[in-house]
Order: sequence, then structure tokens, then C-alpha cells
Amino acid sequence: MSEVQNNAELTQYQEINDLLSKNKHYKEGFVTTANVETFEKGLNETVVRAISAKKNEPQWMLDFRLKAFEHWKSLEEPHWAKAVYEPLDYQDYSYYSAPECSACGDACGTEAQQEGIDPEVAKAFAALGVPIEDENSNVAVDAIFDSISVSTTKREELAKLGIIFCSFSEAVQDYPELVQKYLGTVVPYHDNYFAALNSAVASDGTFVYIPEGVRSPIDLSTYFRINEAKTGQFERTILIADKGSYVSYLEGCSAPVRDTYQLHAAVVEVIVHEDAEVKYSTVQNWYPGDEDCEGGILNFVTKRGICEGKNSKLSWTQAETGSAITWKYPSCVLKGDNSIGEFYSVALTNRRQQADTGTKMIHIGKNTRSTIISKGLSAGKSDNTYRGMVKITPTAEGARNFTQCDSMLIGDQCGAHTFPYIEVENSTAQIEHEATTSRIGEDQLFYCQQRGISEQDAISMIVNGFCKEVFSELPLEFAQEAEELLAISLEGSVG
Amino acid sequence: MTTLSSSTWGNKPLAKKFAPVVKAAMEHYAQLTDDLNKITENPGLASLRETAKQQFLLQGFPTRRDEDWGYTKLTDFIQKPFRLEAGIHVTHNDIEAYLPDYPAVRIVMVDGWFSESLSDDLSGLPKGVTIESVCDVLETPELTDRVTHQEKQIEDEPFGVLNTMLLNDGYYLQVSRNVSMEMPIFVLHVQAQDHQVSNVRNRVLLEENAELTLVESFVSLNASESEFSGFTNVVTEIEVGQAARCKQVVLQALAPRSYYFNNQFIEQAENSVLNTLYAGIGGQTSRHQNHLKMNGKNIESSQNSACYAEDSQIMDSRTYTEHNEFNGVSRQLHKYVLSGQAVGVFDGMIKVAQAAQKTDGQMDNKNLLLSDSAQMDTKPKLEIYADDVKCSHGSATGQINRDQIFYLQARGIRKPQAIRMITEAFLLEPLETVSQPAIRDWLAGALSQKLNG
Repeated sequence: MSEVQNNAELTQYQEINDLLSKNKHYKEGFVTTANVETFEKGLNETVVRAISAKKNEPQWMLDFRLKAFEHWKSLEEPHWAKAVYEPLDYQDYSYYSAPECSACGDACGTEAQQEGIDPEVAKAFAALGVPIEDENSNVAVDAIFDSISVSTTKREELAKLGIIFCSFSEAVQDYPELVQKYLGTVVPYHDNYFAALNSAVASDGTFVYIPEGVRSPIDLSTYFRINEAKTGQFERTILIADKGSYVSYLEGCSAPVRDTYQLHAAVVEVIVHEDAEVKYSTVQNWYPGDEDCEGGILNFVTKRGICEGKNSKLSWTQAETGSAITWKYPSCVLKGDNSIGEFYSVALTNRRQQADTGTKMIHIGKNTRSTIISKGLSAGKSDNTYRGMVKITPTAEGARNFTQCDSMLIGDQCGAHTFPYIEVENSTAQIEHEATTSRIGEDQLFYCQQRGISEQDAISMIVNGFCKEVFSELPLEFAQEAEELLAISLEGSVG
Repeated sequence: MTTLSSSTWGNKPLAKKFAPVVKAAMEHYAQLTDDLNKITENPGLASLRETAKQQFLLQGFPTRRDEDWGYTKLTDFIQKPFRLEAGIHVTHNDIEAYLPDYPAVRIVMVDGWFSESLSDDLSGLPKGVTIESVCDVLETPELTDRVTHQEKQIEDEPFGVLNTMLLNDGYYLQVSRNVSMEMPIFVLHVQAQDHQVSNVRNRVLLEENAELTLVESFVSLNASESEFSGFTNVVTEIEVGQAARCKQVVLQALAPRSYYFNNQFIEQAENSVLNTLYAGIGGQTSRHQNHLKMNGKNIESSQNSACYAEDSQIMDSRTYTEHNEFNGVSRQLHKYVLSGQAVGVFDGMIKVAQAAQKTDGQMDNKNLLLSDSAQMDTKPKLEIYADDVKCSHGSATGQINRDQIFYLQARGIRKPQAIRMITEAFLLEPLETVSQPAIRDWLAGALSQKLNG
């Protein structure tokens, strides 16, 4: 390579670095100082029992936790993901933390909770733009602060339609038969290391049930906030869409700037019955850590849905921009005939972030179809990996899958990887997989500039075009948020 | 406190436990090493085998829990320990049918042993071309390194370790600087005795600007005996020097109950060109692996395979391609046709190092399932650390398009024949990368015969 070229590249990368460093500021990084009750660090059976007692749980829930905890102890921490980190010290985390106001008394009643929100906590959510008190908002929100749900809006309105939308802890109290029927059916407690841990120390989460034939008139959403230092958040979300129903569910998250790793190990179970449709969207913006990603969130999530009935449809859409390490594979088990699974993902890594994310599509029913569109953007010194599996079992006659994984590299210090697993056991299946890796082409930029479009705008156009297929799947507000998040990190950078 | 910077994880020793049948097989192969070492007069060779043996006894055979062996079942293989005995007498008549119909320099290996009587007279090779038996080279202890150039990666492959344990013979092939070996070198690997190990270790050296065409054919002599089973385990190191051109074709047509493992470690230098094709039609379980390092600028490489598996065959073809320098081009096309309860496995990795800017890597895997109980597992992978690259992979699995059959039927072609025509055309596509028509036709003949037989 000639020296001139070298210099040109150097300045080019300098520009990118400057831009990226401007983005150091993580605007959700403030800390809320509320009175909190936090458990001592450490994890043992007593802690598991104490969490359960704190939440006043019935015996079956405690049994579930203990069984999971026993199993967890027998497992080894998995390290197969393409991310380097030291084994975690699970004794160095606190497994329960809650703002005191709402934790006092028997905090199960909605009224008590609504009124009992700590003003500091309310302020935090207001600052995050989460409408926990806004009755005119067109989404219903379940706001989760560390280990507990502090507010769930629009419940009455939804209840009129028969929709259950409450925190997981409340569901355990109020709808034990439903929870018992579905808990652990999609993600069993022994599924994997982090699912076992979650089952043992599950904090809070959201419980959604859409009854037969009901289309949820508004989007349901949950906002997760990890506030306390050195705590883990282990939310458990269950979403059930009964026959012929429809729901669009959104999930957002953030955490303050800390200098030690926070652990987030969630489990999400989605059950979709005959003719029902679920759209599950996530914008993940956990704190990624400082320059070297020290202190960011370790995001080890198990998300899985089952298309139980005929003609059911489950669609996962995610925009992943945060976390020091992401380990997340929202999956679809396509059991019902003609069921459809979709996965749309944009994952952006920067600095030293490491993301290993993708999906699993398990085709069991006849004529099942799945689509996977994954867009990975890596910048800085990050590693961005797509890891996905498409499995066609012998019973899945006429199954169809289309997978497209595109990666874009921005800068020459980062990595973009694609690890697809394709297992076909039925000859009538049609499977296609494509993957490409590229950067923003000099010629692409040149053509845009030639037409009077500035470099900045050109890049923004190209990146947005690159991600468009996914963003168009996100609900409107989320699409906007995702686009903004992306723009902050990427504007002006040239690969 | 946890930090991201440290990567000490992963080095903790694992005390593995083995099932009795695995343990028995491990001890059996360890015993073979001891037997070989008793008669060798080369201490360097003995210690090489011994080290490998110790490693093998620690690791054992891979299981389906190992990431790289999840799709390749070894249960049957482990249950029948193969012997290592002196070669039996094989006559020219026995191998006649397996010889190519084009002019070539012939080397014959019988059960892994270099056969001087069946091979061509190697003293008459063109100037600058050397072929020797590895066994002969090893008789001079000082030359041990020449045939066992330590490629570290061999130790990472379980069958590479086993190969070193039983290292005894193979061929050493060298083409000197600026020498172009025009006539192809044809190596016939023969499994002659039932339940025999054919352990082969080869080393191929192309010096600067040299050119070579290498054809390897793996066959079993007693393929008509339905229970005949041999075990071929090959490690080949190929070094392609600066601006050298290496063309290689490997045909694996072993008996239906035989086992085949081949690890090729290939290193390319600046401006060199490699073209390798694997055609797999035989064996109970077969696994062909290329470990390719493109260690210079402006390298071109092309790796292809055409595999046809039927009944309960497991056919595995893998590539690992490292782009380490500027402006490399790699092309891959891997095609599988599966019928019966056959299992096809493809695993490909393109790894692009940070220095390998302007890399153009492309990997395609296409599979045709002819039966409902056939299975295809594929993992086309990319690992990329350079930004100015063009890399892509594609994989598609399906059955024959009904329209295609219909169009042929509309032209008066019967359905079974139409299916055969389409299948054949599908399977033979990778052969287009073979530049010599004679070799291509010979290969196409072998594949078509299998497909239509």
C-alpha cells in the first residue's frame, strides 16, 4: 500500500474515532438515588428462598426456583459464544433490589403500587421518556426497576377486553393456574446455564395473556431499568396469545453508568396459539461500559417462542446497540402447521462491545415458513457475530426458510462473523442462506457526493438503507428510536 | 472483579472419562504405536509417535458433543479396531481397472505402503521432480524433518494425531524452482486387506514458480465383498511456493463400509494459485478436510467438492480458509446429492485477518435431497477482521424443481431419465474448475457411473 493511501486512511479513521468519541456520552447513564432495599451479595439456597418469601410466593413457585437452583449448581458457565470474558463471580452480585416505597407492605395491589411509586423512580422513568403516568399515551407500559415492577399502566382498559397485562409477580399471585400452565414450557429450567439461573432467582417481568379472538388495540410494552450497582436483573416474561388473537409487544431497557459489570439474564417465553400473531420488538440499549467496555451490562438472554397452533405467527424484531456482551438468540419453534417465524435484527457494536446474537428456527409442522434478516454493523474494536440455526425436522413437509445475514465493517479494528447452522432432514424443504460482508464503498460515497449529497448524508443514507428491511418491521416509535441510536454512533464514519 | 482483557479461560485440563468400548479402541491404537516403535531405528520418529500417542490417550476420540464432530458419528468406527499388518501381494492385474485412461506418472500405495513394484520407475522423472517413499526417507534419521514438517494444526485434529501415532509411509513429492511438471502425477491409494489401517502421511513441496497436477484416487480392491471395511487416514502437507501453481483432484471411491479421513494442510505463498477438488462417492463415513492458509499477497485459491451419498453413508467435506495477506481471492463450490438415509455434512470457514484487505472470498454450498430420509447439515461460516473485503457465502438445500422435470418430459424424456439428467448436471458443476479435459472426463465418468449405477 502506498504511503499516500496510508495517510488518507489514517485521517479517515481519525475522523471516525473523533465522531465515535463524541458519542461517549450515554444519555441514559444517570443514577437514581431512591431508598432501596437490596439483598446482601451472594447466592445460595437461602437467598433463593428469601427472594421467594419477599414476593410472598406460593409453594409451587418456590419449588420451581429450588429445582432450577439445584440444577444450575451442576452446570458450567458456557463460553462457546464469540466473546472473551472471565468467568463471573456469582457470589459478587446482589440478587434482589427494590425501591422501598413500593416494596413495603404487601405490594401486590395495583393501587398500592401506583400510588407508592418513589418520586425519584418516577422521575427516572420520566427522564427516560417512559410514560408511566401518562394516561393519554397509546401504549401500555410495565415499568421494571431493578427487581420489581413499579407500575403497570392501562390495565383496567385492557382488562375490559380480557387482556391480562401485569407484572410477573402479580401474575403468580393472581393467575397461578395460567402461570403454572405455561411457566417453563418453552424455556425449561434446565434449558441452559443462564435460563437455570434465571429460573432460580427470577426477579420480575411482565405477564401478558391475550384471550381468544382479541386484537390488542394498543401496543404493550415493558421498560427495564437496572439501577443498583452490582445487582443482577433476572426478569421472566411470559406472553400468551390465545386462538386468533394479536398483540404487538415492545421492550426497552437501559442502565446507569457503573464501573463494574452488571448482569442481566432474562428469560422470555412466548406461546402463540392457532391463528394468533405476536410481534415482539426489542430495542436494547443497556449501558455498554466505558471505552474498553469495562462496567457494561452483560446481557445473557434466552428468548424463545412456540407457534403452538396452526397458522400462528411469531415475529421477533430487535435493534441491539448496548451491552458490553450480548448473548441472545430469540428463537421460534414452529410446531403448528403453516406457522410462520420471523427474525429481523440490527446489531451494532462499537468500542470493545462483543455481540453474539442470532436466532433458531425449528421447523416441526407442515408448510412452516421462516425468514431471517440480520444486519450486523461493527465499528471500533468490537466483534459482532451472527449465530443462527435453521433446523428442518423430518415431519416438516414443505418447510421454507430464507436467511440473509449482511455485515458491515466500519474501521479496520473490528470483526464481523457469521456462523449459521443449517440442518435439513426433509427433502421437500427449501432452504436458502446468504451472507455478505462489506463496508461502505468508496464508489457508493463518490456517486452520492457527485450528486451533491454531503458525505455525512450519504453515509447516513447508506447505513439506513442497509438496515431498512429491519427498521420497517419495528413499530413506529421504536423505529425512530432505533434509527436515532444508530445515527448517534455512525454519522460521518467511513469504512 | 471481572475484566474483559484477560483470556486465560479455556486452558483448564479436563479429566475425560471414556466408555469401555472407546477405551478399548484407544488402547488398541496405542498398542499399534508401540509395535511400530519396537522395530524402528529412527529415535526421532519414535518420539514423534510417542508424543502423539500420549496426546491421543488424553483426548481420545471426539464425540458428538465436540462442536466439530456433532454431525459426524464415529460410534461404528470405534467398535471395529483396525489392524496394521505388512502389505499383501497385489498384482498389476488387481489394480488395472482403477488406473486412469490418460497419461500420468503412477504411484501406488497398498494399505498405506508405498509399492515400488506397482509404481512407475521414479528415477526417470523429469529433471527437478522428486518423488520418494516417506518410509525410505525416514530410514535416514536426519531427514525426519523433511517429511514431518511440523504443522502445529495437525495436533488439533484427532485423526491428525492418530496419523502421527502410526506414521510410517506415504510419498514425498517435490517440484523444483521454475519446473513445470506437465504430466499429471496419479496416486492410487488401495485398500487391499479387510480391517486394515491405511495410514498415509504425504508431503508435497512446490518451489517458486513450479507447477504440478496431482490426482489422487482412493479405492478398495475387494469392494464386491459387501462386508469389506478398511480405514484410510491421510495427512498431506502441501506447500505452494511463490507464484507456484498447484492443481489437485481427489477421488474417494472406497468400499461402502470403509472409513476415510483426510486432513490436508495447505500453505500458499505470494502470487500462487491453488485449485483443489474433492469428489466423494464411497465409504461408510468419510471426512475430507482442507486447512488452507493463504500467507502472501495476490493469492488465488479454489476449493470445490462434489459428493454423492446413498444408503446410510455419512459424507463430510470441510474447508478452513485463512486469508492472511492483501488481495487474496478464494472461491468455493460444494455440491451434495443425497439419497437413501445418507447424511451430508459441509462445514466451511473463511477467516480474514486484519492485514488481508481487498480480500474477495466466496463460498457456495448447494444440496439436493433425493429422499425424505436423507439429511444435510451445513455450517458456512465467516470470520472477518478486515473492513475492505468482499466476502459472501450462500447455502441452499432443496429437491429437484418439478418444473424442470416437466420441461424435459415435454420434450419426450422419460421421468426417471429426466431426474437423472438434472441430478447429474447438478453434481458435475464443480468439475468445471478442473482445467485438464482428460482428468475432468475421467472424474465425470466415475461420478456418473455411481449416480446411474
